[in-house]
Amino acid sequence: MKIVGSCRPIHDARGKAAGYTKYAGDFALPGMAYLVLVRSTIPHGHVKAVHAEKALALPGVYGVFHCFNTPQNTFNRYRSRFSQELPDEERAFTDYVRFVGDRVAAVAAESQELAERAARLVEIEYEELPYSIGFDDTLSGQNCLPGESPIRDDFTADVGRPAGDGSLIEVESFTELPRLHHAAMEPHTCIADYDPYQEQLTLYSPNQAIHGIRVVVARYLEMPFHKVRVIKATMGGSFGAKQEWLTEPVAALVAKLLGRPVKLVYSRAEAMTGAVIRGAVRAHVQGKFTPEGEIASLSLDVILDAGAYVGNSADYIRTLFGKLFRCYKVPHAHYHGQVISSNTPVSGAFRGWSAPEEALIVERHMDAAAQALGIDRVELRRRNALLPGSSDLKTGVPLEDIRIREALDRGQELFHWNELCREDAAFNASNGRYRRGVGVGCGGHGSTYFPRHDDFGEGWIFMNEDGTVQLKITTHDHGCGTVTMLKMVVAEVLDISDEDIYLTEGDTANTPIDFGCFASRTTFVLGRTAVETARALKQTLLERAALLFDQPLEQLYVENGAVRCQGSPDLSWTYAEIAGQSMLKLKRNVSAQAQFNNVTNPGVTGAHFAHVEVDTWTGFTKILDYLAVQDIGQPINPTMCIAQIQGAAQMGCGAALREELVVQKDGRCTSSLSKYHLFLAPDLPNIRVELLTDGRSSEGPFGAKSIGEVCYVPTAPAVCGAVNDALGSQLGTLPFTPDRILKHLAKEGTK
Amino acid sequence: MNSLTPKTLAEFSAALSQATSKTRILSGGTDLVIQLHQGRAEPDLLIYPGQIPELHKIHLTEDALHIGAMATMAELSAALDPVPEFRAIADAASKVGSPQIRSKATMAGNLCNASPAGDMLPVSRLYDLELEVLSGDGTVSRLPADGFVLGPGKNALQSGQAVVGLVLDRKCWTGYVSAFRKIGFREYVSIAREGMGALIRFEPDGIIQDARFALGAVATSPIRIPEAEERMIGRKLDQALLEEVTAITAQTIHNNCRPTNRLYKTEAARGLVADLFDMIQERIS
Repeated sequence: MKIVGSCRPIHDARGKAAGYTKYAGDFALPGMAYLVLVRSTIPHGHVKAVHAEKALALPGVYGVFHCFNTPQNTFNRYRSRFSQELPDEERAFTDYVRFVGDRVAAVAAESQELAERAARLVEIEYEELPYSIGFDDTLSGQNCLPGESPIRDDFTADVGRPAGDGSLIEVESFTELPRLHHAAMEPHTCIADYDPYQEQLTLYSPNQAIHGIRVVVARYLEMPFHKVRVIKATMGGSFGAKQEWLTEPVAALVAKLLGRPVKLVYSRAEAMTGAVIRGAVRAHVQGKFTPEGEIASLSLDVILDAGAYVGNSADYIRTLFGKLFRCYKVPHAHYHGQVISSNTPVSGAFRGWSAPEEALIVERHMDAAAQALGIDRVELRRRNALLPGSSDLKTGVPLEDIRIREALDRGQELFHWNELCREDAAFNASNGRYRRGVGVGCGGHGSTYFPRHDDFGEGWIFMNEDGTVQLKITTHDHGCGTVTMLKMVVAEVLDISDEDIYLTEGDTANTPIDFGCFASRTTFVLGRTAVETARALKQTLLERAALLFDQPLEQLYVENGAVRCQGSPDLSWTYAEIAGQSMLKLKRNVSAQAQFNNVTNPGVTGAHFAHVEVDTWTGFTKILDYLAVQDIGQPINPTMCIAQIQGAAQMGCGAALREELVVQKDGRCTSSLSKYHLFLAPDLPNIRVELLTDGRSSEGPFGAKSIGEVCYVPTAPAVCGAVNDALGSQLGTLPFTPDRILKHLAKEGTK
Repeated sequence: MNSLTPKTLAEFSAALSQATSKTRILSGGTDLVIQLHQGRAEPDLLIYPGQIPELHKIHLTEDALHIGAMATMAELSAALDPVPEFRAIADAASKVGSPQIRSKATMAGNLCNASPAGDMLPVSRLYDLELEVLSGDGTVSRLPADGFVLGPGKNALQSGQAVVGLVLDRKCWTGYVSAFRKIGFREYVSIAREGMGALIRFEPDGIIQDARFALGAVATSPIRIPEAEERMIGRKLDQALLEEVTAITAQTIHNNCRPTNRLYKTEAARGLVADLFDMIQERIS
């Protein structure tokens, strides 16, 4: 392969770094209004009145829209396809507020500053109701949403049959995970432009599913699909935060009511509390292991706090169970899942879509089991690792050439695990203040939607007169390089440079239907779609060349941007010649389209290793070394994959040690990055990455598997495991902040 | 809102003569600009003295240190890092926010902003620092740092007054070494949870002759620790002294901080004092 497997810069990385690239928030349309939301300041209650007079009195304020002057229509933020059965439970502006941050009103004005000023002048009268700020309140019976059950979902499931005989060892563990913020650099943004003369709505937003937005907005505004055009704008990160629709229905409604284009840009505080968060989770696990350390049975009791709207939570809690079968041999699992409501920010998608939570729960359990059984933590995982050729026990789908055991073996060797364990023991014995420890985390994920949804992709492609190529695939690049990846696979098939390809990203008016950038499916499903599309174009090129130059089709082949003929080394026609001559002589454009219907979902896994030093006098944890071994199949663009993994490690360190959205007693949630402590580049050592490329997929493009989500799954478990190793502790409540560590040590000290 | 950008001290004082209690001075703006965006500050008049050249100067002589009100944290840490008696100021300035913030933020602004977590508050209390205050009538007076911070966001300035410089005697600190250490939520780009400055004079044989400690981010304004300061005199910087000072500091923190953070801040005093002693030890050897 010439292109696939080589290192290419992300297409817009230079422009972004230089400040040239335009995001949706950078654009303005003539006559555009700036929209600023007025959000609930109380966690639960009824809006009795909205006093907008002072805001409306300011010159340049176009209007104040609120729960009493807008339609009663509702939508579901999580809907991403037309066929989902979901409750439409949200209005653009509500008179029944369910959490601090719920949308009550919006001010449209001629500038952002004016709209912000006017929004502060809008006065809301509330009738306050009792509320719940999370598990303890809701589970003790605090009725947070009258008329609705506080337990929104409650179910059990069983997979497989218990293994082993009577001599099993029982292990128990408890994990509690906090609410998390995605912390994409770009906040949620939308520009809505409604043309009342053509009754045509155009939406520009950074998002993960243009066709999902079209379903939601068209139904919400009672418009036919072809009158709603959604364009995916350049994105500055999502991590799942931009796959539920919040800005788009609101901006669209106001644009239609106001008769002006409207721009809505969330502040950081709104992105943190008014969009979606990763919900809090509590889990209790009871495991049974053979004396040799093999899992006989796992029983998980998991509760998820959905927050004020149920959103994706019913799907999310079910998905979490499925993640159990993509890394370890679990012969039997019992699952009890519950979703509760509370008057807090809404739980939604987050990188890994429940797999990182599942890994934190299970890896904590594996560490506890290793201790109970007296088996080394890497060795215990090794004994339970799924082997190549295994299938997903829950779905029956083949995991193909899954390489988690190899990842553990390779990591153990490269990380010098055994040596570090010995060195740390010596260090800890001779040091009063600092304690060192190592941790390992494993995790698995999917590469596609299958078998949950019909999962297909479609591509349209055509060749320009100069031999360059234009490709239309509904991709949603989050900033992580899927545009470059798609260009690379097409370039590989056509044997041209990836620089000779232009890719149109998602635009419902210009690109084919697609389910969106979810489930880490882009490289696998859309990458393969691009391969099929490029192959179709190649076939067209060969057929045209055969016709134009009177050659036998079966002897023609492509090489280096030209069609050549076997046995006639002198014959060669550039793509430009063929495209031009096809237009002039055959009166036909060189174009093609293809669909790929996906019916596989190979396992993709990683084993990560962390070495930490805990300062027992300040509670700070320093990451001394970090290694990610990732079972990736064929990497299309290895540098990009490595960068994704390094970013995941940074994010995981934050989740393990610092990040936590705290809802206070008054219902207010952390809403500033000055109080939400992300891991920064100077906090980290060089993140070492080892790609295992031999476990190729059967159906992915050139044997590729996914990377974007799976690499985040093992991160926090590895770091948490290392801290527990350093302290000889069994901490299960994340994050392991300096406060928690000193509190733990103070408690230990008084024992 | 009106804004004025005086180019000279005379123009600055003329601008101040128009000021009311709602007028704000922008001296870096790392906090004020955020307050303006959030509507938490709605000044009638905004005065930016950044175009007055002399306000940017840091003037160090054998006798005194004069820090212009617009001298940035980055400039301050570069200028004072080589000066043992004022190195605590450099330590504090070098750990304020990010490089971008340190290129804008000023010590005068940090004091006037009077955030309990302001890193320059405790270091200002180590020295008998005075603030040079310009009034609308053109007069310049001085206010001591002790008592300047009245509470969160509140300082002792009258409306129509602005800080133009910070004045520190130098002669009286000859032979002293100093250091400042803070604990935030992370190593870099972090607001202090607790910070501690030390200013110590050693005899040639290592006996401590004089010592000052100031704690920041514990109470609403910085606090000195007289008991620990007295305990230092006549002693050597050794393990026993470290443990005694740690115990006194922890108790002081325990007595002064809010209950929500008490456990952490009290426990972490151990690391804070140990690191501060390490810095001092390194600087005398």
